[in-house]
Amino acid sequence: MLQLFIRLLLSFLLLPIAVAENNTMNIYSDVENSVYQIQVLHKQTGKKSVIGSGFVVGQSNILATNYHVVSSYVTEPETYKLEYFSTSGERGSLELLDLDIVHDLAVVKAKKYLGKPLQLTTIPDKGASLYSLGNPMDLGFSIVEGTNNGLMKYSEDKNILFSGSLNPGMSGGPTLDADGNIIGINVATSGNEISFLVPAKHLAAILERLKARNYIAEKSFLKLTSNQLLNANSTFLKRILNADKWVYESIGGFSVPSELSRSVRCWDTSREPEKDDLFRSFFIRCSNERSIYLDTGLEVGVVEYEYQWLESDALNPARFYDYYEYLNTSNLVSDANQSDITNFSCNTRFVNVNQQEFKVTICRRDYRNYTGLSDVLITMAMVGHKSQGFIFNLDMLGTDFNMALKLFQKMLGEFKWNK
Amino acid sequence: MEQIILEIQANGLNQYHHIDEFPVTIGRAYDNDIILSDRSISAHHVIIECSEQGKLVFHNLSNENGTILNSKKLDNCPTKGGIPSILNLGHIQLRIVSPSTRVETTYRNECDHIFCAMGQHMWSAVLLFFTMGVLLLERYLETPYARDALYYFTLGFPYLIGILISTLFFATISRLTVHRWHFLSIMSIITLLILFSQFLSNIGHSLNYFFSSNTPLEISAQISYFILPLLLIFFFTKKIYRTNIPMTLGIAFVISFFYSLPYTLELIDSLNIEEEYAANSTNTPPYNKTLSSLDIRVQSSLSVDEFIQETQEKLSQEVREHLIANAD
Repeated sequence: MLQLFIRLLLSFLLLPIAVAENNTMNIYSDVENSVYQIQVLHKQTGKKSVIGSGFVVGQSNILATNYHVVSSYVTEPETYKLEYFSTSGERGSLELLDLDIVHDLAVVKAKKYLGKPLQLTTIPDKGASLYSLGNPMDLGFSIVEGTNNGLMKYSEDKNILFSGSLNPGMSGGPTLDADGNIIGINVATSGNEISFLVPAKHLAAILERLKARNYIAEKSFLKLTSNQLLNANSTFLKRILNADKWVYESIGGFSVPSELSRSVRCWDTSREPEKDDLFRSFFIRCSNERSIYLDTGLEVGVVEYEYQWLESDALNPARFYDYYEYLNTSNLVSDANQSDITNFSCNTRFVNVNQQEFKVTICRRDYRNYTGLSDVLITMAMVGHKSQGFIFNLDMLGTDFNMALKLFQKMLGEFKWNK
Repeated sequence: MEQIILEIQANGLNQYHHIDEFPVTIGRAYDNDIILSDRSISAHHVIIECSEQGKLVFHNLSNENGTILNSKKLDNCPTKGGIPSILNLGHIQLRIVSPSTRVETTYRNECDHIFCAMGQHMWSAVLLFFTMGVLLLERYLETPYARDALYYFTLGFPYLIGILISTLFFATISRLTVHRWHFLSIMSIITLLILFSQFLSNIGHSLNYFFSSNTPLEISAQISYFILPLLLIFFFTKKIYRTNIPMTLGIAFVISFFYSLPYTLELIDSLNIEEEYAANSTNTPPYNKTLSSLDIRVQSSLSVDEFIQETQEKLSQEVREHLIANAD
């Protein structure tokens, strides 16, 4: 009797696991023929330079993937070519049709039938099981189960937080719900089962405009990406500029804007005081924690600013200013090189901001291939006080210069001197 | 019979032999009339005779390094030579002159210039202490932490050792070449070089802030790396060693070359980098970062709106030029 009870109990406990396994197996076998590896090959050597995943969507010869998988082909089509590679070992060439650089999506077309198009759907409830497919590290097609944690409301890109392990090579692969429909596209991971998916609606938007123009390829991708980036940037900046209320923070003698929007996060990064310090310093660093992948080493969309207050009762002005000047430095965090951008042009002036004098520098450099896109570095240091210093740095990568100036101007207008 | 003076040239102090009896034998063996201990000299190297007409006749005996008379290599036949003549035996150079040859005027060993004062104990010590004081003040100004005297002493000690070691180095060279140490003078010139460099860099820094430009400090740095050492060494050598101008220039160039070498390499590097990676040497734009508690400056303050408008126009124009330059 006891034996029977244990057996029953065991089978009852194992049942959900068996169901889950069944589901994973079914999903994999259902969509296996619609999932492909996307390869960027060097034309001269014929070897793979970048790999990613893709899936059939919209039409039987159309694949969707990530922009960052095909970016080297987009920027250097004379050096690279695009190919698909199936689970059964077939390969063929691909043509780029359209892309969305802001949401990291690209749509490519093959010359022949690739498989049954997968259906796009909306995001299920938080906690629902999701199944992600792709070819991690070129090791073979895999399916990864994880949990849906919904849209990240407060992040700039509003991707889906997927608690599952995505790995390099799975980029561009589909993530499906329990019914085998696509809810998102694999895009990034931070390790430890923190992964990100692009919501399927952004892919639906591309497919819609492709359908409207009968799946004809876009003519100039550089122009398209420039416009997409500038639009995303101006949408973000307009939202900040038109926001009803900013959050303010006091740092030293100033009250300054901190979180300009909910997607901006500010952190205290003050130096830990030591007992023989003859000064006090405070540091706040804010960032929209956004980066849009443009090309190898090139990420744009970043808006970062920092406030630094320095004061001292013990240092004489000469000593104080020596340290103040040492802190007065700013640089962009970017791997852009001369082929991507122009030299910096800077303007340094003394400016009166709310009755306080600042030495202000604005520097700008432009992207050579993306018309209208600039990197802007703004840095200013308060002058005229013997033992108080205040530094404000504002860096923006891949922005519209005039919009950046507007943001800067509005921020300065909000600086309030309290002392 | 002619009387001659044989001058054996050595660094600094030459040796002189009055010769009025011929033949005279020169070589490394101890049975020679004049013994030269250099290993490049043969045991019996050369014989100088006087002919019946009163002319000097040279017999080369050396099979190893031979004898060169007035830039002509001698074979084993006797060769006539006049006065004055220059004779090269191995590595040693000898000059044959007449006793009536005029010598250069004697200079008065008087302290008629600043370099002479720097050779005195008191002034060189004052200069050394003053320089150390300036160096320590610099360290003090750039330390925003409470530190005790020992900390500054440990910071200053390497400078002191550095000054003393380089002084010793150059004093040794001086001793080997002109048989005088000139220790204090050399130490003073090294401390002067440090002092002037510090002074120039401070002036450059203040001017940088004054004009909101990086150029003044760049110019003052180039002066203190390249021109200052050259000038100081030139005047020092000229006054202390009383060498002629071409030789002084040569010495000044050689010594200051070694001093400037690291800066020269840096300069070449920065020029190369500028060409190759100008846009991205560090992602740090070349703006003027100087701040000054005195706040003395040429520029008056603008309003935010004026500044924004000016920047918009200036940078748009400049970036357009960059892009056009690239397109060409």
